[in-house]
Amino acid sequence: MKKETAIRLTLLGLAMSTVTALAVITTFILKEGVPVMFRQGPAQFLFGTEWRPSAEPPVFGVWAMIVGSFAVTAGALAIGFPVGLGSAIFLSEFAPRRIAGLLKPALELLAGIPSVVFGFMGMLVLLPWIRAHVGGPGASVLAGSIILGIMILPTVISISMDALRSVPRSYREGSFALGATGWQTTWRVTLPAARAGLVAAVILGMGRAVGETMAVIMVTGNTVQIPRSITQPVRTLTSNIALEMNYADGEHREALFATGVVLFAIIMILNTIANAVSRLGRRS
Amino acid sequence: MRIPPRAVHLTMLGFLWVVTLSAVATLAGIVGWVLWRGLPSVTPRFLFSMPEAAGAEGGIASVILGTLFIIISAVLVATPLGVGTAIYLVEYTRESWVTRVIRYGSDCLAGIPSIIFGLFGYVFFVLFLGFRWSILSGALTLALMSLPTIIRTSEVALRSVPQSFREVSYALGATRWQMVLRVVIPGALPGIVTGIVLALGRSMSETAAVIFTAGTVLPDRVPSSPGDSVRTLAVHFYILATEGATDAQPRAFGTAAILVLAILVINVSAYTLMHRFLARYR
Amino acid sequence: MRLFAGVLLGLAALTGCGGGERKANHLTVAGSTAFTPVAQKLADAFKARRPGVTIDVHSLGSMVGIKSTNEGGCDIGMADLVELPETAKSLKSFAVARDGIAVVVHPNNPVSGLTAAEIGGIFDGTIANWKDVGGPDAVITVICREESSGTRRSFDTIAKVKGRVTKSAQFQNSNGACRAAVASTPNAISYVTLVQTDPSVKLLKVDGVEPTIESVRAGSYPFAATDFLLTREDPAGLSKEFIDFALSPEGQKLIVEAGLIPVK
Repeated sequence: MKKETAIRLTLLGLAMSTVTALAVITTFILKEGVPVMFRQGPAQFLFGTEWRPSAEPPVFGVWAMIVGSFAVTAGALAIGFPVGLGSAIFLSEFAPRRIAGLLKPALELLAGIPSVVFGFMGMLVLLPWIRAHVGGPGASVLAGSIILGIMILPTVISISMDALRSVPRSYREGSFALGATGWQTTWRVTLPAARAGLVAAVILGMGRAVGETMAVIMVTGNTVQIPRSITQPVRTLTSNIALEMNYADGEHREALFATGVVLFAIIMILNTIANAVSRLGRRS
Repeated sequence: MRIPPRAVHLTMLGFLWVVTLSAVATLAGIVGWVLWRGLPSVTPRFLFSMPEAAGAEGGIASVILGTLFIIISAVLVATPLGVGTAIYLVEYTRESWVTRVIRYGSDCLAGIPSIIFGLFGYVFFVLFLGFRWSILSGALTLALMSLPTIIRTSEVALRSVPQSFREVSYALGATRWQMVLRVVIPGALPGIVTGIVLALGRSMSETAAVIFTAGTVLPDRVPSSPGDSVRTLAVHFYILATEGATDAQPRAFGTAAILVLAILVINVSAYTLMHRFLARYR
Repeated sequence: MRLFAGVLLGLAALTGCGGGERKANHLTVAGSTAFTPVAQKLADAFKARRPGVTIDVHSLGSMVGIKSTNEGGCDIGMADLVELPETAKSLKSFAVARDGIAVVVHPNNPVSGLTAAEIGGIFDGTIANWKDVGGPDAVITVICREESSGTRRSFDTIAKVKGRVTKSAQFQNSNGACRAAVASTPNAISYVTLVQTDPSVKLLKVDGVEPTIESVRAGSYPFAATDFLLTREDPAGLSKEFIDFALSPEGQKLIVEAGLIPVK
């Protein structure tokens, strides 16, 4: 019996590793990042639009990056969500068995393409195309949105499919029995019933887009400005960190950790919302 | 005028066909593009010789080895933690606030962007624990990143082992641990392995978290200790693609092709493994 | 948790041993991204002469090179700067080479030269259109290096735009990325160390002087920085041998072959 207790405690210890890791990560990021925020003034840091680490004295304001992250993310969702949801509806409701059996694994495999590959492709193919056909310098909100929109597709498709599949069969059968077509059933019955799961898909897709770094850095131009059109370059929170981290020192480095704190807070809020929404969905 | 529902249905169906095929075609197109541009540079010499002139000449042998060392060590650390967590959650406890806290921790870890892991790994492993830029720092950072994947797949695998197996084991007088060790784990093994393989793939494609923890040194020898700094394939590709001279581009594409191929192979094996496993208890 | 700590400790012990064993014939060199390829070549030649020696060259940027040397994180630091900052004053520094910073534009840009004042005006945003400097009527796309790259610091100091770079500037974090961005953007301007230029971009004359190895050496081309090797104490052992090698005729010859300007 003693041995069983020891095993139980050891396993509990292992299981606490996630929580411990989370706590240590949070502590270290906050410890490195928060002091400089207060020295700069939290409002000044969050809502300042100037980012000049080498000015005397240095100025750190991340508002342009917050706007940049959300602009690129909104664009990514505008492109990725309709396409992702459409594919999910097709694969779970309409696709012939053999087609679905072929495309589903293909999508899961493609989810593993590294983000640097997306960024490189964007740099060599997408930027010149935007410059020639849309205008502007090429590196832009639009370029970031397109690349991220493609990157979040596998996430959006797989979560949306889970949501659609969790709608009971009987709902659809009831609708068909009333003489509805396949599309009417999907539009009036299945989609509303899967609402909560679809919202979770949007939020998790958003989390993925906000947190993406390497692809974004290669295609958005990294200008610190609040964009006035989608063809202008922007800098996101993630690219701010990755761009300057390798070279930063002293207060500048702390300011990059503070950027990390802002990013961390945004992600935590998104995750908590996604969690709450899918729990609501499960309950109803 | 009212459009007949049947017509709406057919139009939408056509539209969904187009949307789905274009989604798959775009993603497959990117893979195809990389392989088409990169595979011609992949020669045995490229795979088996050491890099020269900052990667613009020579091969990627030390990069391939460095990648393997990092991702395998990451999984070696993450597996006991992740599988242990899953066993605890499935076999040793009921749903309670403790399990909720553990799950919350795992969900949060899964959502944290890789750049945050990079920052953390840099202050904690590289500086605070003094591991410097090394295989060790990189592997530990990746281990934390892949924990949620391993926990989630192992949990699914353990739960899919039929309850009757456990009852029989108890009936034969086994203790809980004997039951877990002799019945549940062997039954769930393919599923657990799937999670580990997925974690390998995810670690392999990671750039942001590794660049700040394993460093950017391009070694011209086989890494010999966990304290060595190495470049992974993804980092090497990123550096060649953005920093390299124009004449380094064939090698950048070659590296990308190897990276993408390796990840496809890893994902295909994980996928087939999982399907065989699920079919077993169906 | 206990197991986790155990694994950590075990691995830490392993690293400790590995590091200790090798210390005697191992060099860690870290710093300037621009100087890294050259340092790599010097290291290769040095290792050929001294079998058994291993050298790691970390490409981390000049400021990290200085910091890392100060903290003992590396044996030799590398920095490419016009002058060393306050934080490097206590270090032993050895100028091993010089390099020009070329101001580059797209090959199709008709502008072939600018004055130093015009360059300053373009980078601080007071000149925003190519027609103001004798070019076509097109908005200038300014592409910079990120804050605290050595090349950026040197450029900002010489062009007198320190802390005032235009808000609409795009940023790239390496010489190669700046060059690639200019090569593919018709109205862009950026700067790249001379050794990293290639025919994909057009090099501008500054105050009428072409950026070449000769003009940098003669001092007539204004945009130039010095490549320093740094150590915390007076160099000894392998560090001393490596720095001596870099300054030897053979080392300087390698530096010339790499496209830099020798100091001897």
